[in-house]
Amino acid sequence: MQNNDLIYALATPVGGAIAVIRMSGPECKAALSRIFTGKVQHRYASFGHIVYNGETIDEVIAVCFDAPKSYTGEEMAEISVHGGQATVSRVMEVLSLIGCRCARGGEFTERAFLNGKMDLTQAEAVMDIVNASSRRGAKSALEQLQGKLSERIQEIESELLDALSGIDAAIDYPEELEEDVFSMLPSLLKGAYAKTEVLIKEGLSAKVLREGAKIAILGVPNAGKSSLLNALLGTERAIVTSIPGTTRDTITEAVSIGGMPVRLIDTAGLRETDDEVEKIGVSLARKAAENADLILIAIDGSKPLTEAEKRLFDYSDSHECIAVICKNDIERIITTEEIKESFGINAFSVSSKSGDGIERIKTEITKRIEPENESPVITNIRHIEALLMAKKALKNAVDAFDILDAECLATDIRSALSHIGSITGKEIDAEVIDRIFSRFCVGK
Amino acid sequence: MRTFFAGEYDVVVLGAGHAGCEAALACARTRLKTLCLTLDLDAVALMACNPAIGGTSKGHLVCELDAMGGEMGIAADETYIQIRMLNTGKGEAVHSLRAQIDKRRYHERMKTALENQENLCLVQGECEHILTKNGKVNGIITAEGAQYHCRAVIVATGVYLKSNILIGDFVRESGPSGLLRANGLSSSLTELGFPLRRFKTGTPPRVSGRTIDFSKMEPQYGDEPQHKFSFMSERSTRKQSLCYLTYTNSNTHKIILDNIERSAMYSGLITGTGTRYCPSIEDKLRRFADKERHQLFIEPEGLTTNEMYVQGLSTSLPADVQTDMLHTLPGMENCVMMRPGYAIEYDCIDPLFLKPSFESKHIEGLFFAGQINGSSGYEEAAAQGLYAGINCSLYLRNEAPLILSRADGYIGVLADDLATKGTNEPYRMMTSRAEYRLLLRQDNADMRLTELAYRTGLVSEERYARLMKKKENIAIITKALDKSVPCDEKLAALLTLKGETVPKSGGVKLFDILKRRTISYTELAALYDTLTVNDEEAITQVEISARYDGYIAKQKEQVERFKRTENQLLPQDIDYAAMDGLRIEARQKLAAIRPLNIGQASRISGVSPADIAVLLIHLKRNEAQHGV
Repeated sequence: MQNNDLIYALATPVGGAIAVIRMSGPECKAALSRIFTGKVQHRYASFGHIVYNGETIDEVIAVCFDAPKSYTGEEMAEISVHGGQATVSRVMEVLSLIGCRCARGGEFTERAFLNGKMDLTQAEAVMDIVNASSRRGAKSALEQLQGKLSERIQEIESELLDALSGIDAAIDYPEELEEDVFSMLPSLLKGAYAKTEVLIKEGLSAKVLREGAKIAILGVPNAGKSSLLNALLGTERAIVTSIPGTTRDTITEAVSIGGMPVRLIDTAGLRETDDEVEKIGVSLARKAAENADLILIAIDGSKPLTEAEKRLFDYSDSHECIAVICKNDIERIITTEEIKESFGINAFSVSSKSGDGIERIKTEITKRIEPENESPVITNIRHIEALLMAKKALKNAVDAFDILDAECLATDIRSALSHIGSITGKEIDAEVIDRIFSRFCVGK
Repeated sequence: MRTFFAGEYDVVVLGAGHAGCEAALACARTRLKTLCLTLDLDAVALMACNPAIGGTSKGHLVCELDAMGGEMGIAADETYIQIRMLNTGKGEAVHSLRAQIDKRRYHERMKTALENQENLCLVQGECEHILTKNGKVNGIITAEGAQYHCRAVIVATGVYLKSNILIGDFVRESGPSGLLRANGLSSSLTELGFPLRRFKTGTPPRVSGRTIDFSKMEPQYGDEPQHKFSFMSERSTRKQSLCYLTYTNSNTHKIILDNIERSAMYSGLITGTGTRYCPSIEDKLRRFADKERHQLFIEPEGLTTNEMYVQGLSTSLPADVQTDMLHTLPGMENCVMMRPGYAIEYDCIDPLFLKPSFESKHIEGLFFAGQINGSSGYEEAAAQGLYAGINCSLYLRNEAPLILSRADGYIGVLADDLATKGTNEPYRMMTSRAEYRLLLRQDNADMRLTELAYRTGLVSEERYARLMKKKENIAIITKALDKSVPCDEKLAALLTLKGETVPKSGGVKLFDILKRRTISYTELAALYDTLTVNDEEAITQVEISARYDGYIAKQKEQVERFKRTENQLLPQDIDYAAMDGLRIEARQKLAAIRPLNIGQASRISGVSPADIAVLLIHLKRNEAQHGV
């Protein structure tokens, strides 16, 4: 695609010691140099500060790539910032303030393909990604949010639609509109602004986002835990052998699932053992399980359940659990239905080798780790980004309310609505016109 | 019936309403041998409803069609009897011109233009059949059997196709105002593959001005100095007529509600789809039951008639109820109703069968414009007529169509809305439909469109030269204003006088001073002899760009983003059905609408961003495979 705009995305989940933010697009280096004190040079790792409006935000290392010698084929930069939530979100906010846009899922890859950085076989893989996202797209982003949260966003959207349809009715029907639509505007706009701000704040300080949800993979030795971890990560990270007891320590990997940061913890197989080292591993595994937000119980599907395996299900009394029947590619004798029946928890079968079933597990994980008990918050970084952009547009309208012409106010509100619309999937024009005619008696 | 050969033309325009007139003039003025057929020569350019042209967003359309060489703006300037700028309390982008028009004079003015236009033949007759050969238009046959050969047809039949007029339980097969309707053409269109739909609209009663006591109403005056629609007209100083404002009251409402089941709308007689944009008075009462009164504007229909139009009282109630409700209005207690209001329903096509040029997708050389496309309003019709006329002419000359985008003008928004989204009710233009409202202003319609339309041959050399001069002056002014000047006493005095803050020290750019709304260019020109240009229109342009500065920049950025997808063209032979990864709904919609580019595809309802990504990837892959 020619002439893309400048996009950015968090390449690592929040919560690690270091977070990497990638940028791609024309004028990338120029944009970076506006906020980065270090040297901006092709393939040169440079130390410096991120400074915006005189405020020093973080000490970072940045590497730049000239087009076309980068992953996407465009001018790119990678900024390694300190991993704290506040720092990361502040740097991302600054990037949007200087005109970058938060990337859509898969957009870096898409650009790489469109710029000819991939061949056709690789492109087929991209098609799969896009297909998967289009299946997900059938369900609007809003539906993925929890009921209460979507209500809160829709409330903001509705207030803004009221504000905009009022102004537009006044513009389109200056003679006929008898209602005073302007006196209510300051309170509507301030209200929507404040609510947006609260949503962003809550989202940014949310526990899941700050630390990443902890997911422990439990199982008896050689049940396929490490293979499952690798399949979820999409890389060979844990050492996989067929020798039981290979993983003696816990291995923690950070990954993003469904837009949320997650820490996957691979554990030593749980069994009675005399090996001192393995004993430590087992007790670490139990501790990891205790502290986990979600436990994946890995079962070897090719053998009948052992007593040790059955005991793993005791965790389901105190923890969120998902059963995963591994080794799907070997002859399977345990079915998901049996597990469900016997232990009352959802089970999925997966082949870590071929990857069959992994997507379904990821979807289930996403569903489970969204915080339900604490007040629901926005955890998807792209949604937060959309709200940040909406907030920026609204701030303009609120600050300059007294001196702005109606049509300028409308421009800011429309802009805020289009950002919120990227979460709710609403078509603004149709909504505004519907509201004009349902609220006001205009037209001749 | 026996047919006879009646003549050979390049193009036949069916209808001489607001769309037909513009279409016929555009074709003839670009040297095509043009026949314009009308059901009634005494109803050319008839303003069957409101005696007014312009208003919010409609005024924009008129200025735009003028900028491209259309007739409506000049004709309105010549025949208005009152003119006012709406929205002057708001910024320039939404200023909208509205004029009360002398109905009869407008008809005569337009008819004269058609009669005297070289290459144009205006004839009374009803087309019954459109003839095609090998998927191309090649002629028409009238009800009397006259057969004309032609290479293109523009259908601009308005609300006349199988129309019915309804007044209470009275139904008559009739066009508007008791004129003939067209009976034969509907079935010809169906045979040609256009499913027909039934839309409905309405009009209020007309009353005798001699029987109204205007002292009980609020008068509304025209603006002085007077405005103009056309970039080619001069300001007029003619005497202006008055309009009057009055209100309905509880007695009016009681009469309407007591008789509401006698309204054709509520008795079930009407099957057509009405529009929210023009509700009848009975609709307004039903939907806004708590509203105690409704505004009514009493507007003169012309200088040589007593007929007054009662804007706001559109109705399909029986005539006796109409008289009773009129008599409840202050000042109209003894008025004589000269014509009752009525509802009218008519056949129209689905505009999704059209390309954005308004040519039919499946029959070459067949164009549609105006209410037949499901729109409402004279200005919407005229804009489509001009646009279809231009594109028909380009088609016959084997040139690329002129496609205006949503960033070019309201005409672009109108064409894109109709051809991409379609409409389920008579479509009215609104400024809310324009994403780039701050850029699409009446005052800069010439700057946006005159050059684009120049290649069509409709823009006169004089018009073009005027634009060039204006642009040159804008450049000179802009350059002069870009200079920094010391903030000296004379500037400080002006700023203080206007209640503006005075910059502390150092230099200040004159352009930045002009951003303040209280300061005009003329006031600065009095202080600085570097500001020499005295071109009113050029000055206005610069003042507006100073005042909207940040916002214009924002919208220009949005337009740049918009244009990127608009410039990614989609081949017209894509097999959407065979395209992996597209959802079924998207495949069907894309195959039916056949968008010209990615931008248009993304506006089709039922096509998601993920579908667009799939489309992009397929495009790129095809390019790679075919080495384009």
